[in-house]
Amino acid sequence: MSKNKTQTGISAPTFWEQYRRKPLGMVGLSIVIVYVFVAIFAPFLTPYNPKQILLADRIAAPIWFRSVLPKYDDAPSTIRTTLGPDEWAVSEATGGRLVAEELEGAAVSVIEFEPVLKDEVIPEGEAALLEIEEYPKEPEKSVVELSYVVPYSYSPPKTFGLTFNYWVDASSDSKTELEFVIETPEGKQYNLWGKSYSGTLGSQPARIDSRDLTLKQRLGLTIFDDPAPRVFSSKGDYRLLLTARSIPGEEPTRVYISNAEFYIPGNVHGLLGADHMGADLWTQLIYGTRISLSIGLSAAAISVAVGTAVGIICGYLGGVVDEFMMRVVDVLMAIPTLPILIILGAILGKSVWNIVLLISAFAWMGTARLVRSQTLSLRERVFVESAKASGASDAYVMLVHILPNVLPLVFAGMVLRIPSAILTEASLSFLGLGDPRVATWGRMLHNARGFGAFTTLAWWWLVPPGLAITFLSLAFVFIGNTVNEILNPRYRERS
Amino acid sequence: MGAVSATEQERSVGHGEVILDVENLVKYFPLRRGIGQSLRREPERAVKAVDGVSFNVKKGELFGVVGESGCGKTTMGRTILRLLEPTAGRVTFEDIEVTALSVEQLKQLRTRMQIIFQDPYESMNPRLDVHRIIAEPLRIQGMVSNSKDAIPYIEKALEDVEMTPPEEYLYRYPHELSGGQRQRIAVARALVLNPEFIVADEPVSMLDVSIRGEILNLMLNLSRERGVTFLYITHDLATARHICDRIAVMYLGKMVEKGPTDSLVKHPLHPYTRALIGAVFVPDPKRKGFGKVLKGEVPSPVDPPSGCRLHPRCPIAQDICKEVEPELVSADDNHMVACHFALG
Repeated sequence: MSKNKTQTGISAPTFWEQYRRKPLGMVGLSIVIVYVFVAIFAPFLTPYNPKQILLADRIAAPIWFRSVLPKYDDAPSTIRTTLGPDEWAVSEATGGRLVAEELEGAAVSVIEFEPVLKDEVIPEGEAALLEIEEYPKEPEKSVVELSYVVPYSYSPPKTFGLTFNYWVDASSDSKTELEFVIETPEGKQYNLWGKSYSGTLGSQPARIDSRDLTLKQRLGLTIFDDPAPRVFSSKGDYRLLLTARSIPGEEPTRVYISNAEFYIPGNVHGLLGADHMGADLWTQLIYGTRISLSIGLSAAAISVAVGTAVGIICGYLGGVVDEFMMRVVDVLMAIPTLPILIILGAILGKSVWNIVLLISAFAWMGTARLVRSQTLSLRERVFVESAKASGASDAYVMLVHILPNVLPLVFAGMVLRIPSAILTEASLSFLGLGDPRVATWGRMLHNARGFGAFTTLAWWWLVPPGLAITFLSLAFVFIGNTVNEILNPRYRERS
Repeated sequence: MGAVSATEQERSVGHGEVILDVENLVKYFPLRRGIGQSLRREPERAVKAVDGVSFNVKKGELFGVVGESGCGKTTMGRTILRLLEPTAGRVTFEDIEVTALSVEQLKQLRTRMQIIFQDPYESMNPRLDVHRIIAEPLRIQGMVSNSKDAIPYIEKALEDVEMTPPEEYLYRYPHELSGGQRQRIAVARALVLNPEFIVADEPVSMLDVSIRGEILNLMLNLSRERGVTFLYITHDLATARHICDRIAVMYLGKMVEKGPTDSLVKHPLHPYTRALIGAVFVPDPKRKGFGKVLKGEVPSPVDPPSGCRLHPRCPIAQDICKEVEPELVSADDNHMVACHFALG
């Protein structure tokens, strides 16, 4: 009986009974369960999705730094306000008013100026000449000033910005001016932006950004000065003032202003801060679990399936097929994997499934050899001959008699192949050959290296993905070794 | 073996119709040559496991093949069933030439010819239960479409091998059964296709002596009651003489003597047969000469001795034995022997 021990089937309850007694195996299993939980419930563990950017300033620190490090005591968190007709307050209005309208489902603030009553002002005949002379002397400007109060209670930010679209509907004899001013709590006004037009104007974007050169020039600063810390230098209530001035024409002048977005990116954000695009790092880490686990599992499953199939077929059929496939295995094993993956990855393109296929394509050879050697001994077993004596075909013998007997060997190998697939994916992503559209741990590290996490010592960007990879790989190694110990006692020394 | 009485042997079977005819069967296993040997054009060498064996088995007969380990008797059994491809020779089963069949035709023939293996621990896949082990031939042959349909066949086969009640054993695994039970399962598996001919390859050599009798009786009953023909391969002349109608003795891939059991055991003609009979243990302290067996070792089947293969070990060998290979010749009606001096 003893010679059959390694091949005798172990039932699931017996296996679990043995597995639960191995502390390392249980540690590995618990870690993997945590990761799987995180991967499944990723959307519930973070309010953002990994594609959202501009959630905070570049390389923002974790928010809990505020209570730990004095330097971050009152570091700003992100302020982002959408200003529509309901938010704006009219602080001054002569000859005009604010109207809320809905255009294509979006609320639009419309500043409406009344037309000049030409009939009264301009008499018939020659008097018109007189009027033209006098016209510039008495410009009857109508003004509407919209304001919004932003309470600000942090240390100065690095940047701020306001974006909106606007367009003007007016007769050609009218003139319109728009201006954006921030008034500090001390009453100092910074005139950041202004435009003036005559007549009708199509939709225009207004992109007010403190890093903008024209804005700096408008404030009389050099290109090396930073307007944001000057404007938001103190804590208190800031007023955003959007002023429209108009010299109306014959028709009513209407200035449309789409929902404006005011934005002060925070220097602290979320559990793990933000990356160079202002994307949430915690979210990337959480969603990275999904990618890493699915890449690891699928690459391991594919490579083990291919390896098992090749191993069984070669071992059982032997002959030319066997010789040929084993030489292919030799060649593939001799090729250094990472460089060839880099080349193929660059040629085939950067999708997650390409990476899975590439990793599997270079990971099945070990399994094939192991399975082949086992098959060589299994095919000589009497129960195989017994099946043949009943008329069994080769396919039947391979599926019913060989496969179940090599599975324990393969199963442990598969678990041990998962971390290497995860690490290979991380290496490829780190080298910039990963899928740029998905957040993976390797990609996080790639970005951290490329966008200044090392120079700014943003360890909260570097360390978590590194640790995540390490612990997941370690967990699978623990599990794989334990499974190996139970199912394949002969291989105990090797693992 | 007390269960098998002597009277039972002396039965008359309607020996007439030949069910299996083996003609000059040869099976060589080529040895791999090294590159150096290939370059030096050394001749290809081979293990001559079966080297020109001819005999026939009659319907309903229990035919024994006796020989020591390595004489090629197991290889011969497997070659007859074409589990091994013969190097040369012809096997005819009824009027079907087994050695000329295609794979598909061979598969059909497998329902009529079965085999029981020596080692009941090895001959069953440890991952299958009894039910699936016995159902396997039925499923392979497409006689049942699912495992439920197979149950009546399996229960009948289990009853045939006296494993009752069958339900008790259906879902057990081989490791939960004793050696004797396993071998009964192996017999049941061979029987489930209702074959006419079974090669029993040392079916009792791995079993305890106490269980051997049961399995041998089982074979005997199957032969008597169902007319199943057996080719009983064994190294143990004692068991063969108890159940077999005829016995053939093999030495180094050749048949040296064959004949009806009584005649062969009581009047052995070949010195090798005599030695085999002399080696049978008889619990009689007064008996002399026990253990007087052949001198030396069995020569390698790669390079069998010239002439009579037994001559280096034979007590009566003379010069002619080294040069001329003796033919199998009739001593009396059914008894044949291959020795230059057996008849003189």
